[in-house]
Amino acid sequence: MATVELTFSALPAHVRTARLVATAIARRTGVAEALLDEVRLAVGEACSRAVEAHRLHCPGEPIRIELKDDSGRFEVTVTDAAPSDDLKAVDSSDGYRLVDAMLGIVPEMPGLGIAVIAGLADDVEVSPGPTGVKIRMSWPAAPTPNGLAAV
Amino acid sequence: MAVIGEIDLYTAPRLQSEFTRVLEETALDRVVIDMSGVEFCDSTGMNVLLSALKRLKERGGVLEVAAPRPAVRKILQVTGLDSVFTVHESVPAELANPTG
Repeated sequence: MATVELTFSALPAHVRTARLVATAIARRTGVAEALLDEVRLAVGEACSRAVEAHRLHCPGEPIRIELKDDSGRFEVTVTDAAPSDDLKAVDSSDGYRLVDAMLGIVPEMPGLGIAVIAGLADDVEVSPGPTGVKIRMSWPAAPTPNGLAAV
Repeated sequence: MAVIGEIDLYTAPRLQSEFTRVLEETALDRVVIDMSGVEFCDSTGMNVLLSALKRLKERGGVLEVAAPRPAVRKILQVTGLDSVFTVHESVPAELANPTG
């Protein structure tokens, strides 16, 4: 069952809010303090990617993030409504131009965001679909009865 | 140069234009970024640093990163960029008390 669901419009300023909420829920779910930086970074990357994709393809559509406690794991799913051409593009030299456009300001290393997520989350699944991309990631969590993580 | 706060999709454009301004207005060939005040930096921020590095390299210069906090160190490690930038544990002594 979802603990918290959030939808936000595709504005870069909202990515920070999503990071803060995700980190707070992760802490409450019992994710170890040492992993919270990773959660914050990976969620930020997934949301930034979604915001950039929406700004390019469907700026009016919201982005959804679900945060749940899934039997001992803290699971985050970021769902967007934009075509997943950036993911395919990473492999083809032709596609780089598109990735550059998506990364916007400084496309020094296209696809860096996805690489960061893959390097950070314990368990990641990127599912490009016809209606958008879903990025699901999770970390181990050890909840205590009062919702406070053991120190 | 000292950078403070969070570097992400929202704030990166400001940092990018500040780098552009500094690199256009000066002939600096060694830039050390004091990251001790940076609480968060994502791949957008790393791309800004890479872009600045590229411009400095074009004129034979270097970009170095000093005093990253653990959260920033993490992204440097995950991206492998800790081997691209020279990373100092703390701000180099000769730069620690800037006068200008």
